[in-house]
Amino acid sequence: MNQKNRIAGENEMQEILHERSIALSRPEKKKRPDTVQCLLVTLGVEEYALKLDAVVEIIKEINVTHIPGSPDFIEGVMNLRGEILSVVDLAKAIALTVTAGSKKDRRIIKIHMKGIDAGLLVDGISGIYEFTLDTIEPPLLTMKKTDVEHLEGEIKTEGKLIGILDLTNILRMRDDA
Amino acid sequence: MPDDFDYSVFINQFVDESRDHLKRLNNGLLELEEDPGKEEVLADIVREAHTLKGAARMMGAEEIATVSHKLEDLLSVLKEKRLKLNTQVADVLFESFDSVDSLLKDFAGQNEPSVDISGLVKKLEDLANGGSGKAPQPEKKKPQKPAPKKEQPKATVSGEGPEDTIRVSSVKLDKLANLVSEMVVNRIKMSDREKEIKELIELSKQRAKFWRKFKDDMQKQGLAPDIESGLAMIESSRADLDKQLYMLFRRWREDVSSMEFTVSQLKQEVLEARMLPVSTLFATYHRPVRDLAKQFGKEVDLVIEGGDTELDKMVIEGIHDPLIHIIRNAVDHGIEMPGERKRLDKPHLAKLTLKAYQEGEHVIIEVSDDGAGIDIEKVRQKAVSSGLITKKEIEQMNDINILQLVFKPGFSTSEKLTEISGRGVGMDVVKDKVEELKGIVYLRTEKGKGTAVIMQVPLTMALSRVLFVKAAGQMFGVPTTSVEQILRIKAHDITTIEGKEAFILRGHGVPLIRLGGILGLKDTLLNFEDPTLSVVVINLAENRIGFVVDEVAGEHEVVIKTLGNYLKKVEKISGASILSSGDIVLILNVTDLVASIRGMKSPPVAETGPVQEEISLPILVVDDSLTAREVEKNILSSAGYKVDEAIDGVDALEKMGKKQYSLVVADIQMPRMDGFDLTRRIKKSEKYKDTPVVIVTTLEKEEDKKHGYEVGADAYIVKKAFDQAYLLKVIDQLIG
Repeated sequence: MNQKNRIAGENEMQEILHERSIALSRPEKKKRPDTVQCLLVTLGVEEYALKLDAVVEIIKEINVTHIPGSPDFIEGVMNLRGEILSVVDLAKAIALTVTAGSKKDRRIIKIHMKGIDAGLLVDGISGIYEFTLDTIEPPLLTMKKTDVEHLEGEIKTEGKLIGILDLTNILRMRDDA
Repeated sequence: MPDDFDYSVFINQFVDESRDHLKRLNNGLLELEEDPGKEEVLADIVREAHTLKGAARMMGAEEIATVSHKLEDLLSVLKEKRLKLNTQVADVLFESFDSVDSLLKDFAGQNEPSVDISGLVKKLEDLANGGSGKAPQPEKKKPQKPAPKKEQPKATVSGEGPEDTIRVSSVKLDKLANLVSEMVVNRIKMSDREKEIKELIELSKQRAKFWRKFKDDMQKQGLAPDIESGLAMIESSRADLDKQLYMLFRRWREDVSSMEFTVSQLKQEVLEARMLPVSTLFATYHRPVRDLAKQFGKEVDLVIEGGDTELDKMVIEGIHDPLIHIIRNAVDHGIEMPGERKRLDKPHLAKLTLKAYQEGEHVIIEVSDDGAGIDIEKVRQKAVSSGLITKKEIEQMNDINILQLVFKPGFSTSEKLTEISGRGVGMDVVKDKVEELKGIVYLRTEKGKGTAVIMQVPLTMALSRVLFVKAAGQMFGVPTTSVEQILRIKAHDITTIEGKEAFILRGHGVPLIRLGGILGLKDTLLNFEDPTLSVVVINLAENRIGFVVDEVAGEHEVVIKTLGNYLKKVEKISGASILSSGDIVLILNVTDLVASIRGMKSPPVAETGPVQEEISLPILVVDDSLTAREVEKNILSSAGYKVDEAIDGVDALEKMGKKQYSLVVADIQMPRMDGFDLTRRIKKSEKYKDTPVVIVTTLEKEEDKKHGYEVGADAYIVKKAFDQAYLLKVIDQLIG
């Protein structure tokens, strides 16, 4: 009856697929190897970008079981259609001190990369953007080294600077934790 | 006799295993062709060839052994970089893989080899030898085609007519078993749905009551006829819906129960299909034991007991590596050299016993030798010197716990350790493997008499039984494998042993640990209105710990999953299960939990020899009441003390003159000489004054108590408040 963890990411999923199909239907644009599609997420008040090719789906229902004794950035595990998915608190994983946003907007982004499946807990999703690679700049020199490790680069959009998260690095650094 | 058993039983296993080796050889070589620089791949396939050779030799498959031997040689030459992998070399290698494959088919059908391997062997040799020269051979024009295979007779067709068995790959059976496990879980979900329908019916009943009351009230006020008939119609359709709902419930319940029957039968059958007698595994060890014995210059007789005990194939496969490891350790380090055995007056043929038996839902596999045993003192020293544990910590551990240190990773990496512990090379690996199988492993040893490694593994891997417990508000699963008992104890039954909470279970002190606390969760506070605690007693390697939990929520059959591919290992958690509600329950790793509880005080009685002697201190119980003496004697002796009795003070002094006691428990009111007098005399005597005296009496007045202490009693216990735990605690404080 009260099926918890019902995967309600369907709508968002559709959105992504829709976006993708639009991207695909514009072959001249898709063919340009110098563009990258990103999902923009919010962590606290900051905005970050995740490369879309790692994103599998977006999960709305958040019912995470805490694992005692696990590292701080591990939010826990969740039941995703009968499979167990580890959930990482993305803000903690990049050592961000954030003021929690509205709980209502929180989402878990399931990613798949290099044989790893994980869910990333974010405070919200603001959209999907496509950037040309030449707009990507190296991370600000003023940043701390640890911050730089989390970022692949930065992009400027509507006057804002958005960091592109280096998921490989973020998850790998945590691998041995 | 080692070689007397029938190898044919193992043909299928050998063929399957060899095919796996071939598969990996093929894949590895393909990978190398793409990138010859991958040294680890090369190293892997050298090992594959080596294993293949070994297995073939053991099975007496000469041709396969020869080819794989030459194969290994050539691969080693490649590995040593004395030859470069070019197309020609690769072709010959692939050709030999194919030949082995054909030979395997022949072997499986018990037919004569259909491939002449002499040409191939020569090619392999030439390449290997040529490579050992200077430069890599120049490529020849065109490599030969693989050995002709077309004329092969069909290996599996024999003239014996159709068989009544078919071979099904174990992968398929595994899939079936997994599906059945999921189905069992689904069946449980269906039962939950049944409850939900029942709740719906209840809800509907309540609504109906409410509705009828409303209708009656309305009718009292008088209603227009059309509204009246409308109400009647609503009522009848509502009643109809109720009836249908109830019918649905009944049909559902019938379906569930018939499904339950089918599913449990299905589960049984599928699980049984995967069961194999452990003898299929045990029998393969005669050879390694003989070889190992020869290698180390020892004489060992392998004895197998309980070979017909059946186990899940997956478990059997899983315990192979740990067993080989343990056997190797036993022959290498456990068993003494023949000369040493002679000196010790032990039978010159050492005995290594492999034993299996079923115990409930588990199978116990025991490897025991009659060798030198493990020197606990040396383990102790080693553990401290290797920094595994502090001196202070180890002082508080009992022998059983110290022995478990052998399974610590840090313990076994040290080189010198083998001579010291008599065991230990890679015991951490053994432990990991056994835990992967959701089993537990522990040691039992007696110096000079031998060592036993005991593995407890589940009958089947598909489903596990776990006990659900709630701690700090969160639900966890504890594998029933290690649960000994569930009980409720009263808060005042808790005693403190060296500042740590404990309670007495059948005369043994069992440490009490808050599960929530040890998991690092905020523990819920004790409810003072209901001062009883739910305690789950874990017995791990004869090590008992009582875990205090919020509540025990029953035993369940679940599929234990891993935590996913990102979180590899979390301490104290072995996996997770998904409930029918969709919620996740984490499954606890009991071994980790117990290991994390350091500085545990040994229970008053340890079950091992030397400790017992230390603890069996003689106590003299002085009381004129036979009942009182009997009760006290019972309590004390079940806590491991030796007890003598005296009927009054005079008798007591007489007994004390003959034997030294470490403590006296005395009543006050007794004929001839009372307790006060007795205590005074004891404390005044030069000989006895250090013997503690505990007065146990019904005299509860403050002045009596004062009097008691004045004459020198070390403790004064009023019988009214008397409880055994308190008595033992007091005694433990005085002489423990």
